Amino acid sequence: MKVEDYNYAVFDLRREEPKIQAFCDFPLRPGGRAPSFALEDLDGGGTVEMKELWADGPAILEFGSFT
Amino acid sequence: MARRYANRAVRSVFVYTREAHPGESYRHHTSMDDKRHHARAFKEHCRVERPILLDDLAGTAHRAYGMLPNMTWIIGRGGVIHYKAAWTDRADIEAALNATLDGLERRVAEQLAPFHSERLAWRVRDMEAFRRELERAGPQAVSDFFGPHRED
Repeated sequence: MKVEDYNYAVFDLRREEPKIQAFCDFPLRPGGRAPSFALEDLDGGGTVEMKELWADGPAILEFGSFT
Repeated sequence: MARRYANRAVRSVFVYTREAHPGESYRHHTSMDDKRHHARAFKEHCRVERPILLDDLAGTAHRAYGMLPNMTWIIGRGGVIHYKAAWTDRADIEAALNATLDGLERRVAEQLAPFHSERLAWRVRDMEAFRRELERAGPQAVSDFFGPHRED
């Protein structure tokens, strides 16, 4: 997926709603292994590898944006 | 909630994705600086105390986890997925977290084994409050969502 396609300029419900309906079939699910990626820490500016979050205990990940 | 569970080694973070409803005031990201600027505004406006972690501009983590606008996942120690939710509802998350922590604490003594289950959950959908949030993003965000194709 191109960066400009991921960061759409116009919200289209007809494009986005099917993804919500299909989420139950998304192959990542409880019992599976969580993938880890490097994320930028807004406060510190450094990098956090996601697996560090659950290294010592459970981690709650909420995904979202201001809008 | 994050503070209440911090003493049980539970970490809670907000992963910042693309703008779900871009508008004139908060446009789609064309750079990481855009993302940082929006995330700081979000942190200040919503008084977010949890760490905010930024996904890359391509949305690599967001896409790997399903690419929905406001999902919540609970990951157990070592990386096993315990909870997957299409939307974020505080009560539902808390119930799931308590079940996870309870099971983890009891599993050895009571010879518990995890199993997969699925159910539908409920969330409040306040369309007037949502419209106000879209208005903050800009008139385009409102018209893109509440345009002629919407029936409700």
